[in-house]
Amino acid sequence: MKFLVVDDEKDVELLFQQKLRKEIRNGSIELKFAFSGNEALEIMEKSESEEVMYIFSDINMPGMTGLELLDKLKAKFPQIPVSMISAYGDAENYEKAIELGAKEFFVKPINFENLKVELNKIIEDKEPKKE
Amino acid sequence: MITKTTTPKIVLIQRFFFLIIFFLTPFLVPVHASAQSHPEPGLPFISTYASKISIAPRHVWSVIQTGRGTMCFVATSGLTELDEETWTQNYWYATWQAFVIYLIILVFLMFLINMFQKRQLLAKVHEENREKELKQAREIQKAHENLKTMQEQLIQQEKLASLGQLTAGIAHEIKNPLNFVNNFSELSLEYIEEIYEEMTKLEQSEITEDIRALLEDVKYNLQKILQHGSRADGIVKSMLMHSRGGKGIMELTDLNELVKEYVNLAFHGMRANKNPINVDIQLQLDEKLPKVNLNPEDFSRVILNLCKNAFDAMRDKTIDNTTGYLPRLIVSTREMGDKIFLEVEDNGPGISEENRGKLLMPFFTTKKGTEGTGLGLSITHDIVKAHEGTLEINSEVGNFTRFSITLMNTQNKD
Repeated sequence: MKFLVVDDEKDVELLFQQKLRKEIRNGSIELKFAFSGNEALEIMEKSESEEVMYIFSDINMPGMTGLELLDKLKAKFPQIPVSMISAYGDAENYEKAIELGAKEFFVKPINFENLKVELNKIIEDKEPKKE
Repeated sequence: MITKTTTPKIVLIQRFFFLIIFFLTPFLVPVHASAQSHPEPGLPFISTYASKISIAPRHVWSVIQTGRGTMCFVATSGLTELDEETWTQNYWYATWQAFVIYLIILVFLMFLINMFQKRQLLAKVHEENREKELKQAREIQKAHENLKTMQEQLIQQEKLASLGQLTAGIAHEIKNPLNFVNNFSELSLEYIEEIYEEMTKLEQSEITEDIRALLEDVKYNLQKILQHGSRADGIVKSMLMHSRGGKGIMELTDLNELVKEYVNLAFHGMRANKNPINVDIQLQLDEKLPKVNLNPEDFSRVILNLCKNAFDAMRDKTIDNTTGYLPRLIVSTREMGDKIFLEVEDNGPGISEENRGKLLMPFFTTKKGTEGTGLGLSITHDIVKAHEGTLEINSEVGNFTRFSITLMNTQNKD
């Protein structure tokens, strides 16, 4: 099952890969990374798009912000859930994200315990369908 | 007022001098001048009448003259025709020329007096004006000083407001790197645990022991990184709370219940943490206290902050003081007219006057090392201000510190 993480900070890739190494190792999840909103859209528009099941996106990014990306993703791929990860955990950002159709809202520093709970939920939801 | 009364004074004096002229001039006329036969009609009558009442006829004449109100030199000018030469020699002082000179002198004198009085009046007016001006100047200076302090306060507030915005921005930017610091250190700690597990599979030797010891050090360091990263995270969170504000709703709240709940929470929080102390907590709550319009979420933080500060201060005193010191915290609520009072008093070491002024400033702390962020009281003050209340600090070094919060009694208003 493929996840797309969108964040302008490259270290996020390292962090996610290490934090979720066990899940990656046993093949339950696969991570893909995009470092900007445009890159994320490109990835989604390629053939891989069918495989990506879930998107995590940062909000505060240069160029396209996470909220703009969310809007575009929701228009093109309404079936794929998108969760936001942001340092700006204020009410305004939260409400806007939920309004635009975000599934969850994670605040930085990322609590991976919570993130894993969310991942497992998705996996459990999707796997029966695959079988 | 004063100028109205002084102007007639001059007029009065001038009148007085005119009267003097009227009365004096007849006396300057010689006695026998009037006794001699005189071309003016009535004079022989005057002289006979005067002899009858045995007074100098000039006196009678003068009375008549004054009554007529005419200048007497008219009469004397008539006299000069008789025996001009001898008369002018003997009575030079009564000639019309002499009277002209007298008049000139008099006019001159009057002029001088007038001048003098005018000058005095002017001086008086000047004095009054100057006093008025001084008074005004003092008032202006006072107003100016008020304005200056207000301006300073405004600048301070403006600075704090921009500082708030700045800190919000900085706080968010710091959150990102902190995210990595905390998560990577946590991750590395997990790795070390895994390495330990793997090492049990190796043959135990001196080398594995060395590696284990080194890993122990690395683990300890990583724990420190995580600990301080979390601390920084805490500071960032407080900073954000500081700048954010305005969250939560104002509602009518039972302040006594809130005080009971959060004083208790603060106490147990302190007991659960490092270096707990025994505190005698006394709640003196006004049972008739009406409900107060406040934001319970924010206001609970005020209570927590004040209690936490009190505990920290008293802890310092227990360390310094060995002679049977018993920490005591008194929290009281009181209704007085249209005000509600909340007081938190400890018998800790007190706050010096020097520090008292800086107490509400962001990032000011007296707590040693890493214990305080210096934001607690600043946030407390902000919250109280948002409730349109006031925060007052009373303290005596070595004896007590009392924080008094005054809130509006909204129930009383309705």
